[in-house]
Amino acid sequence: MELFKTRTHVNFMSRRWIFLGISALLILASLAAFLVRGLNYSIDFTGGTLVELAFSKTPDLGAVRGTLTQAGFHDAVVQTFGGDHDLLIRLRTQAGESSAVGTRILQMFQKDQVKYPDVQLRRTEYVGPEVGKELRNKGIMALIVVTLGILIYVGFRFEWRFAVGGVLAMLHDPILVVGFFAISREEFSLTVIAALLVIMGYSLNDTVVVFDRMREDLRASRSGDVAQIFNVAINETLSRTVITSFITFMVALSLFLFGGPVIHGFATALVIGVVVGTYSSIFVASPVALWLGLRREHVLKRQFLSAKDRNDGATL
Amino acid sequence: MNRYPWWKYLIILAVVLPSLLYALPNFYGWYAAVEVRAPVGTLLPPVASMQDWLQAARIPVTRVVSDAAGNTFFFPNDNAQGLAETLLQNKLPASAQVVLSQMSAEPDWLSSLGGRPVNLGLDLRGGVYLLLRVDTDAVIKHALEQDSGSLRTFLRHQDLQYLAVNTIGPQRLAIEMKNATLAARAQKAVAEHYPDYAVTLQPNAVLDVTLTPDAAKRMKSDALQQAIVVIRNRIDELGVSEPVIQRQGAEHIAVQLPGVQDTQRAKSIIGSTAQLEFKMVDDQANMASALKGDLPPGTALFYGAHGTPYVLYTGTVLTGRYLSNASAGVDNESGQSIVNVSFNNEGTRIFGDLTTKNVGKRMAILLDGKVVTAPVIREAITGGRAQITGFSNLKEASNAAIELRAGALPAPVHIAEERTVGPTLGQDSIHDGVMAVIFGMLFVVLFMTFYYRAFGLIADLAILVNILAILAVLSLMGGTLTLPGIAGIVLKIGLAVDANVLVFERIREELRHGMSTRAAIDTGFKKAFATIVDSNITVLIAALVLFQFGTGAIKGFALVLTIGVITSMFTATMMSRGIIELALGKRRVQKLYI
Repeated sequence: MELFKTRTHVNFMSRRWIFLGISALLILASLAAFLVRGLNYSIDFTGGTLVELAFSKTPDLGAVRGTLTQAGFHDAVVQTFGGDHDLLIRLRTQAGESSAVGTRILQMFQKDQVKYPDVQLRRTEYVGPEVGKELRNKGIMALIVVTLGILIYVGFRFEWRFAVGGVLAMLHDPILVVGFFAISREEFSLTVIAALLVIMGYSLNDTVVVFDRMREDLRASRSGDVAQIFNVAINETLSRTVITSFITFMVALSLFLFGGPVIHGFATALVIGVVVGTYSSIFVASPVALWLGLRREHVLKRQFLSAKDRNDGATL
Repeated sequence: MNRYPWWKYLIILAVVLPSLLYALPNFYGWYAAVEVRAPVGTLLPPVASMQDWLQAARIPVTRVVSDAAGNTFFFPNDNAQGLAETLLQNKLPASAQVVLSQMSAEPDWLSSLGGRPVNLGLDLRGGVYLLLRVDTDAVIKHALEQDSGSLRTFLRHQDLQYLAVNTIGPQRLAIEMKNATLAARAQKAVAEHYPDYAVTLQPNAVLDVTLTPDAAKRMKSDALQQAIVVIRNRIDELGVSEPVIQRQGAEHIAVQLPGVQDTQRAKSIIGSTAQLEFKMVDDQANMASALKGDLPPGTALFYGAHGTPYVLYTGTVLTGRYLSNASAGVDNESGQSIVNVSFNNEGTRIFGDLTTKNVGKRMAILLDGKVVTAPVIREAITGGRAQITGFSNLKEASNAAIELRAGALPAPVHIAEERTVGPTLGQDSIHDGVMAVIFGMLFVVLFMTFYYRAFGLIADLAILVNILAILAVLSLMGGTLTLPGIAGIVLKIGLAVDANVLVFERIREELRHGMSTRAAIDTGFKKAFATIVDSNITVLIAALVLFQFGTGAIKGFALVLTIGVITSMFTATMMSRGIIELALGKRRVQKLYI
């Protein structure tokens, strides 16, 4: 089967300002959501205690909250998790509080055999306040290092206008995903950061494929119409872009649907990331490179230089 | 003719065959087992009688293996394993260690080739993860206290008259000398004798003695190293199969205890400092005025377990450092829970002298600053053995014995992070992860076959080998598979076909341009190769950074991704090409099924 029997001829570049405008708006909206609403950070970052309990029958949330309040846990947040037999109880850490709180809560429910028969511990997590801060710093550091690493690599392999376009497109994607997390109130955990890094890698992977073809076509072509050559290159790689993105999207969806509640946030970020990552490699990266005034000579320069060097060596 | 050189096929075989072989152990599953071990110096009942107990309780046993360390019983399921653990724990003496463990069910020939299944992370296996912070500042503080004491002695011995030695900062002492000449002489002497300190002369005959950053760093690092040793000893005493204890940064220790469910006990045994001290009781002191804060010089107020106050001389006469062994038991006469301790040679001498000189007086025994007991010394004890009473039950006594045997921590530790995963969640996560792999894989395989027909099947084979290669490398490296790691495999299935898609699309394109089949394949692979490398390196950068910064489960994800990027570059290019060339053989091909 072939989706693209003949080559497509979509003129992507003529509408580049529209796409750049849409992206700019989405980025602004994401940043605004992030600044105004903030993220629903998991205890990885805030520090605190989390207890997941499995009940033998659907527990009454109100009664559970009552039991907790009675025991002095006034700020406990209770929610169902995964199936409706599981409850997630979250507590902010107070100064000097220790990891023993989780065990205390478990024992409290286990004692009340009548109301809560057969309570089972699924997991407890305790993250001290200093660790939370450290994990947050580490996460931010990781994002910065990946950005720099990729910037250096692409800058080294491509012309700088390509590099800037690629990196802007790469940054575009995690920003939109963070925006989604800010708006949806979906929990933002360490695994989401991992997903963001992968999205950045994926986004650039997609972009590089398109850029590679643009460079090839620019070198082969005699015409100086860069926008036209960009269009050709995007159309040439379009079938690959669509197929790969579709497959990656489907495996991310498989994680989202079957991977279970523990990696739900991770899978959510991936699903969104694949979509925006594909979009940005076509509609952000190339327009930016064009906008920065990329011309045919820029990608030829290196060849000319090396040819000249060889000549110099020979004549001397 | 087959244009692909024979040596490339050799490389392909050299990668594919080991991948299959070393991925194999992962498909045999696990036996549920219980290990019974006896610490050195204790004895176990014969294996036959343990088997009799299990038989009497109708617990099915599939196999028993005995070796020098003890016996391992294999069970057909987790339920039998759990029942057997409880039974053995109740029937065996308290000193015996009963450990739940999982044994790979792979055949012997596979393990003799070095094959082993991949380690499962705590999030899949269940267990406890602890991140401990060692209070290294306390080590410095302690060192400074000791050195200020020894400095005074040193100055006296050297006839360098001083007025005072004061602690003026966390790493700083100040010595006030009698006059400037003495100060100058003292500076030289102290600097020579205390190389860990920087000694500078201040106005008014004052010496500033500051711990050098290097020395402070070394002390902290030593303390951390020592804490790791002590914690490892304690965990060994606890009887955990395959614990992981790692240093993390300058002051953290990460501890992973797979399969442990009694978090509370694990935490209290690992976390308590276990500083055993012997101090003399001041029996003359007036308790009423002491409680008001009016204490005789050189004494301080200490408390027992139930808040009983004691006035003790602050000097420690003996510490846990001089112990050679400790064991819990029950006193035959009183029925009380006790800990029997024996001292090493030096400890025996000190303890003998002490008890000889102080017959009739009371000596307090403190554990982590709390008075456990304060018995009257009835007679000189020169045999190097003592009995500590005052524990409320046998469990408390045996915990204390474990801690004393393992030695004291050089500094207090705090739990900075703790994650416990129950066994049911771990099993659910494995199930969910496997489901995601199956569905992801199924989709990709069907899609590729449908879309690229014969070439799609080759891509499917490449993906399959790729997954097996990831498993094989992970197993051989001793890496850990976590739930995010499984997610990484699923994601990798998607990313790995990208390389195949790139090649196949390029071949189709060249065919459309009218190229012959062979030339199209050749050009397709050649032109796509640079792109494949470029695009994979970006993912590799992200994966490597993640590996560097990530902890625990995230590291497992980064590891899978890193291995996957490298293996997929091989399977999608060299291996796919090899199969294609092999399939086409020497024939002239008119049409490609792509």
